[in-house]
Amino acid sequence: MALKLPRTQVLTGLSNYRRRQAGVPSAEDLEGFRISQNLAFRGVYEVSQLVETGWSERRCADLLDMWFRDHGVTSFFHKSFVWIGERTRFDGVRTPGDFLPSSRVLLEDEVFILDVAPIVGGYPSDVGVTFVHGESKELAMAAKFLGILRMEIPRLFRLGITGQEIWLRVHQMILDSGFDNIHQMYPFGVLGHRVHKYPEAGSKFALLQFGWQAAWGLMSRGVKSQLLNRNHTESLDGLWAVEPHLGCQDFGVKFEEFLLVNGDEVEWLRG
Amino acid sequence: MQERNVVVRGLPTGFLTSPGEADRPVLLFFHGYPDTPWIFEDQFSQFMDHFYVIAPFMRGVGPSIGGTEDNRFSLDSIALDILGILQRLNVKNQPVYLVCHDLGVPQALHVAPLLGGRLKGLVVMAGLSIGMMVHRLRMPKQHIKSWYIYLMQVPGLAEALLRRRPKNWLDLAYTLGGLDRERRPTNAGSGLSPAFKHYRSYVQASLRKAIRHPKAIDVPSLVVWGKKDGFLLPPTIDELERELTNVEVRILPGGHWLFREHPEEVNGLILDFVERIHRGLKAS
Repeated sequence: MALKLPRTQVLTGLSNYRRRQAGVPSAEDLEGFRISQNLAFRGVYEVSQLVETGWSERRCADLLDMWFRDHGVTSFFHKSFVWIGERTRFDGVRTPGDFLPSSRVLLEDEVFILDVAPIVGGYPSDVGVTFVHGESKELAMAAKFLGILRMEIPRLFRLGITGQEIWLRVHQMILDSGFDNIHQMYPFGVLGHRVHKYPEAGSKFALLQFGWQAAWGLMSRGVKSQLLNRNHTESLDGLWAVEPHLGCQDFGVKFEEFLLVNGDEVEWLRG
Repeated sequence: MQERNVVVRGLPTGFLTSPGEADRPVLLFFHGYPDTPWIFEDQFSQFMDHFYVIAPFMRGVGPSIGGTEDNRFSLDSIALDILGILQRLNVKNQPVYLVCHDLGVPQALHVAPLLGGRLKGLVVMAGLSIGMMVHRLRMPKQHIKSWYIYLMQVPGLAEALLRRRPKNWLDLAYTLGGLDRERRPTNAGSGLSPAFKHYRSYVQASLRKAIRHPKAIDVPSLVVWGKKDGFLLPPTIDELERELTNVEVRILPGGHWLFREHPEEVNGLILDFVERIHRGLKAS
């Protein structure tokens, strides 16, 4: 008995911890996530204004990370990803290492994607935006469709269907509109993933750009519940980073931002 | 020249500019240490009528507050500062020429590839790129001349030494650099204190950056060096061509601050170099 009691307490504690973590963040935590996401968007838009032809993905990613460090960030859910031109639709991406910033250089009128995830005060953000300097009719059309998806995704969550069904419906919408589904090429084919509050320590440890916090998030809570992919059948309540990514003829387009799901109440954290 | 101040990523940042708007080719100066941009005053008077001159106070120097985070002294952070200043000054499509000296050289070479097609030429005066520094690790004579860099790598030691007679250390720097007393800057050198953080960042970045961004710069480059530079051995063509694929070199009698010792001669070289590029641009 003497041994059993503490064990029970530990298990109960863990169970409560998991339940708490899987649920909807408190108002205070939401404010933390909002602040983190706002900084991430600011960094992405400010650095995008500086990007010039001739910049490599690697240089751009380094400068993005430095922009955040200059704003007090010491840790990253993942360090910055940058994809340029045909790499925005993951042409030639075969192994996890191929996702990393490369020496591919931006040329005139090419599309590029900035995807950043700083941790601010323990709250990670995960934000992705697609850019082009100049005009691209094809990009404008794809962006318009992404806008439709942005309106549609909260509606799908409200239907009470599983994550698996949401994934499949978004997949079908993308194909029906004449685009390719690029997010199915992400590791685990995710349309989104959960985010939680993490400690900020240990920013130097990163694997394939991902901080230890990302790995810990999956390992401690279970891969299946954390990733919105074609296998997800668990509760959808909580905060998600949703990242639909579609492919045109020569490039890919994505957005990524937080979606708050609380039963029937579903809204983008940014409004 | 007028001194202006803006806030770049939360920190006050100062720079000197020609009067008026950035409506002509831009000459962007990178000073070294223990200097301020005023070290180039003989160049400003020569060039400010024909070029839009910009000369930032590097991080920690004068009005450019250093802040509390050491990363604000890193090459990436300095590059963001410079790009931020150019953005504020509306330098968009104008041709840009970089003129750099001493530790301003690795900083300018880090910024150069980020300027895209705007960068038309590069003037390097007595300074080593990160790649050249790594290459010189095999040169014992350079190690001897770089004793002060090693001293600065020990946090606390250099600061402790500097607290005793800072003026003497400043005089020592200019004396070793071969700059006569009457040619030394009167309008306040930056002092040695900000230099420590820049030199630490320079050394820390050396290997990492050289490996991560090994691409050479192919815009026309002019390298000007004093034969009797007290801090740096004159470069060889082989050494330079690894980093600057289109380079011409002028080694003149003089020390580390050649452009202050012999301003007319150095200004003439810069002007001739820039005009040749500019004529080529117009012709094309």
